[in-house]
Amino acid sequence: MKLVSKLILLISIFCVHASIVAQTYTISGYVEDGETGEKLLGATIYDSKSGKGTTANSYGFYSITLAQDTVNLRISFVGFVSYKQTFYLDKNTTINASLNSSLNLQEVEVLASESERIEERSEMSTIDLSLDKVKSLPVLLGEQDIMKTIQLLPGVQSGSEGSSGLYVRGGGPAQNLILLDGVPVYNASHLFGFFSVFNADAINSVKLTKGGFPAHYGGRLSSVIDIRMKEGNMKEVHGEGSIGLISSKLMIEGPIKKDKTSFIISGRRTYIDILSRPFIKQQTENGSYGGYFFYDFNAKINHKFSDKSRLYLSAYNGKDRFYAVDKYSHANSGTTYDSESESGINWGNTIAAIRWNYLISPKLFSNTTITYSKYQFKVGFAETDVQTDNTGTYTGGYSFEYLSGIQDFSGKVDFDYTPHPDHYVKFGMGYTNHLFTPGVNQLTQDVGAISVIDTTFGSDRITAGEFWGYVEDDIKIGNRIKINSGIHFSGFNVNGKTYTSIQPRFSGRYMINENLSAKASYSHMAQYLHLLTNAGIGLPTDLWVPPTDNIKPQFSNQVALGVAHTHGKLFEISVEGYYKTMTNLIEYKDGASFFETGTDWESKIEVGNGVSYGVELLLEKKHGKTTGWIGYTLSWTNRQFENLNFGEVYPYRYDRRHDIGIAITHDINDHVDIGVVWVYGTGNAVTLGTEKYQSYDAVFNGSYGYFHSIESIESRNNYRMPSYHRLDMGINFHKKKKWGERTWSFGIYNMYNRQNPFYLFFNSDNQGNIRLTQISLFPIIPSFSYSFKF
Amino acid sequence: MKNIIGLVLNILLITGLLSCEKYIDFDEDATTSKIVLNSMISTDTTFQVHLSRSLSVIDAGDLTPISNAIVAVYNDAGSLIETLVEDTLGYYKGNQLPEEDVNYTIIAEALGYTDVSATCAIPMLTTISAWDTATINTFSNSTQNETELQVSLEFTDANQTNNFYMITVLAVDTAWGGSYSFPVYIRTMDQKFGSDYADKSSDKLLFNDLLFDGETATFTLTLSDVSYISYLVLNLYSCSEEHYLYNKSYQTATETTGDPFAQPVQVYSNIKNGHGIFGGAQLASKIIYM
Repeated sequence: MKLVSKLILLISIFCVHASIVAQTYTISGYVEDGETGEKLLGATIYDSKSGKGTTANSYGFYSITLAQDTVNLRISFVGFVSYKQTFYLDKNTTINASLNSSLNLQEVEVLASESERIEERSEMSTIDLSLDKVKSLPVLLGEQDIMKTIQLLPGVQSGSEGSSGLYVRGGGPAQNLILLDGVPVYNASHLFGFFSVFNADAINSVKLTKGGFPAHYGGRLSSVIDIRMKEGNMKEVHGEGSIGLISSKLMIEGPIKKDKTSFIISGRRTYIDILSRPFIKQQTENGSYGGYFFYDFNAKINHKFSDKSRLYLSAYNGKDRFYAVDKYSHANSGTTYDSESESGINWGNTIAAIRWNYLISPKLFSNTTITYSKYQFKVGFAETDVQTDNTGTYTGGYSFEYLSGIQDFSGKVDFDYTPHPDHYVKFGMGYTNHLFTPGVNQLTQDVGAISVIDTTFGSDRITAGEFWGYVEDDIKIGNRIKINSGIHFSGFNVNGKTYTSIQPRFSGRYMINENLSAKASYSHMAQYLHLLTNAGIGLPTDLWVPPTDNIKPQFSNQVALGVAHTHGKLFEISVEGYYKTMTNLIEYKDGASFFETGTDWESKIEVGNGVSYGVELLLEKKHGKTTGWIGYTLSWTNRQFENLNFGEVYPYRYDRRHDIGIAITHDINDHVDIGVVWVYGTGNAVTLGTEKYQSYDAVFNGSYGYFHSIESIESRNNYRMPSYHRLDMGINFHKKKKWGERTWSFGIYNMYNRQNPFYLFFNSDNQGNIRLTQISLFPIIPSFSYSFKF
Repeated sequence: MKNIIGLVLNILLITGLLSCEKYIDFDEDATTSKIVLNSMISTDTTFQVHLSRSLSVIDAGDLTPISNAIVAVYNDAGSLIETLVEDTLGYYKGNQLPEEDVNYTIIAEALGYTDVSATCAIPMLTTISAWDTATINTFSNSTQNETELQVSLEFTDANQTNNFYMITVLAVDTAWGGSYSFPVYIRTMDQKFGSDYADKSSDKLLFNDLLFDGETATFTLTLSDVSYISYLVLNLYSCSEEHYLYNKSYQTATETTGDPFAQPVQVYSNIKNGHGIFGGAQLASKIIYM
C-alpha cells in the first residue's frame, strides 16, 4: 500500500510538473506601419516580464512562445511609437500591431529598445541601411542610389570613379548576392555602373551582410544585399516622384481593395537622348541620330487572403541602350544608293516573382517562392543597302549580334519555426535552373530575299541546375550568450557533373556588460557561378559562366572577431577584424581580349586564389537631428595565380589600404535638412609598364619597327593610382502643400573639384614628351531636382 | 566586328570627351636605367650576349648598347668558363661551345649600372623521328594559284622532366639564283598544342609536354602560302623553360599590342636586377623539298 501511495504521489508530481512545463502559448502576428500597412521588417517583440524577445521576419511576421503568465508585451520599431499591451497569456493569441510614426516625439523616446541595440544582436558584419539616409544624402547628378550609399560603409569599396559595383572585404562584384524580393539580380548597374537599377522610392528595406552569413544565404562568397520592395499602401493611394537633371521617376501605390489587396508601380527613365535628338539631327545631313537612355520599371501586387495566407506578385524590368542610326544617300549616273545602318549596345534585367506566405501554425511560418531572372547583354550592328536604277531596285544587308547573358527559373520554400523564445529556427530548400549564354555570335547576310549567310558561332549555351537546403537556429543561452549556427548544403549540376558543398555557419555574441559585447563568426561559402570581368574597360561586357571540369566552383572561408558598443544611448560603435580566403577565382589571361570571337571563354582565363584581411571601424548615430556615420577600413587584398604574374602574389586591383566614408545629415528645422558626404580611398592598383628595353628578336633577328622594344611590367597591378577623395554636399527644402509635400534638392558633387583618377596611361604632350596622363571623370557637378509626395 | 569595336570605341570616346585629362608625376626614381642582357645559347654556337640599357617609358632617349662591360660565364660548379669579348657595339662573344645539360651563369658588370646575372641550361636534343606532307588545298586568287600543305611530324618526349618546344617553318626560294627565306605562318587544330593556337596562325608554335609527357606524339600543321617555294625547313627546337616562357609571353605581347580590350602582358625575364632573357635551345631540322 505504501508502495502504491508512493507511486501515485510520484506520478502526480510528474503530471503536475509536466503540466507546468507544457503550459506555454504562442503570441504571433504581423507588425505593420499603421498609416500605410507596410510591414515593418525586423520589428522587435519583447516581454519584459520573462525577458524573452524575438524579431519580425522578412515579411513582418513574428511568433513568440511564452509560459502561461502575465505578459508585458512591447512591439517596437525605430521611428515608431511602440505598441504596448499587458495581458494574461492562457491561449495562443494573434496580435497584429499597427505602429504609428513617432515624428513628433522627443529624441530619447524613440531610442532603440534593448533587443535592437547593436551589442544585443548575435549577427555581426551586418548593416541595415536607412532609406531615409539614401534619400537625404547628396549624390551624383541628384540620382539617389542605394548602392552608392552602401559604398560609404566600412568594408565596402566602390570600383572606379562613379561605379556602383561593390567590392566587399576583398571580393569582386560577382561575389555579391543582390536580391530583390528574394530574386538574384545579375547586373545591378546602369550606364557603366554610374547608377544602380534600384529606385529608392519603391524600396522598403536594404540589409547588407559582409560576414557571419546565416545559413539561409548562399551562392556568393562576399556579401548579401537583401533588398525588399514596398508592398503598396493598403489604406490610401499615394505617390512620389521626382524630376531631375538626367532622369525622372514616379511611384504610385495604393489599395486595390482596402486592407486586402494593394499595388505599387514605379518607373524611371532618362531623357538625354530625347532632348539631344533634334540637335543631332540638325547637325547631320541625312538625319542620322544616336543617343543613350536607361529605364527601370517595378510593379508589385500584394493580396491578403486571410490572416494566414498572403500572396505577392512582383516584377522588374530595366534596360540600358546606346544606339546610333546612320543614313547615307548618293546618286551617280542615274543610280541611287541608299544605306541605313543601325548599331547599338543594350543590356538589362527582367525579374519576376510569386511568393505565397502561409501560417501553418502560430509557431510555423512558411514562404513559397517561384522566380524568374534574366540578364542579357547584346551588341549589334545591322546595315540595309538599297540600289535603284532603271532596271529595278536591289536590296541587301547584313547584321551581326553578340549575345551574352544568364536566365534562371527558380523555386524555393522557407520556414520560420519558433518553438521556444530562446530558439528561432529557419530551414528550407530550393532549386534553380540556369541557362548560360556566355558569348554567342549571330551573323546574317541577305541579298534581296535570299539569305546568303545565317550562322551562329561562339560559346555554346549551357543548362545547369543548382539546389540547396539549410537549417539554422538562433539560440539564446542565458543572459549573456546568443549564437546563430547552421548548415547550408548546396550542389550544382552541369554537363553531367555534380559539385556539392557543405557550408557550416556560425556567429555569436557574448555580453561583457549591458552596453558592450564581443562577437565572433565563421562562414564557409560556395559560389558556383563565375563572372568574367574585363577590368580594362568599363562596359557591361561581363560574362556569367558555370563551373567546368577545368574551372571549379569558388569557395571562401571567413572568420571575424569584433566588439560592439552603444555609447550614451545615441552612438553605436563597432570594431571588427576579419580574415578571408578565397579559392578558384578566375581572371582573364595575359593578352586575353573580351572581343576575341570564335574563342571559347574557358581558354581565356586562369584560376587562382585570394586572401583578404583587415579591420573595420563604424561609428554611427541613428537618432536626433544630426545622424550619420563614420566608417574606416584598413585592409589588404592579394591574389595569387599560378599562370599569372609568374606565380607570384600580387595586389588585387581594388586593394585599398585605407578607406574612409563619412555620411552625415542634419535637420536644420522641419523644412530644411542638409547632407554631407566625404570619402577617401587609397588609389587602386593598376598594371602599368614603367620601363622599356630592346627585345631579343630586335638585336639578334633584325626585328624592327613596332616590336623593337618591350614594355616591362614589373608585376600585375604594380602601380598605385593617386588617392581618391571627394566631398559632396546637398540641401533639401521641404514644403507641405494641400496635395502633399514638395522638395527642392540642391547638391554639389565633388565640391572642391578634385580630379580623381579614373584611368592612367602614357601619352605625348605638345612638346613630344611622354607623360603619365590621368583621366578623371567627374569634376564639380551641381545638381538639382524637384520631388513630390502625395 | 570592326563596327562593333568602333561603336565601343566611340562610346569610350564620348566618355573621354566628358572627362578631364591632366599630367601627373611619374616616379622616375623607380625606373633607373638597368642592364638588358639578351642571349640564347645552343651547343653549336659559341656564347654570344648583347647588352643594352633600359629606360623609363617616359624617357625619349635611345635604347643604346652598353660597351666596355665585363661579361663572364660560369658553370654550375662556379668555375669561370670564359670572359666574353666585345665584338661589335654591345655584342659580346666567346670561343667556347656550351654543353648540353650544364647550368651556365652569366654575370654582366658595367660602370654606372647594377650588376646583372642569369642562369640557364641547354636541354637535351629531341629529334624528329618521322614526318610527312600532304597537299590539302589548292585554290586560285586573282593572280595566282595557292597551295596549302599539311605537315605531320613525330617525335618522342623525354620522360620525367618538364620539356618545352618550339616549332617554326622556314620557306626558301632559290628560283632566281639566290636564296630568299621567310617564316611560314602555321595553323593547327592539334589539341596537343593547347588552346593558344586554335583560332589563329603564327610563325612559331610554343608548347610544353603536359599533354604528351613521355610519349611519342604526332603533330599536324597546316602551312599556307607555300606555292612557288623551293623547299621548306621544318625546325623543332628543344627549349629551356626560360626560352619557352620568354618567347611565349613575347609572342602574346606582340599579338595584342594596340588592342585596348586586351589584358596587359608581362614578358618573362630571368635576368636578376635587369631585363632581357638568357635561355637555351637545341635545334633539329628536316628539309622538305617541294
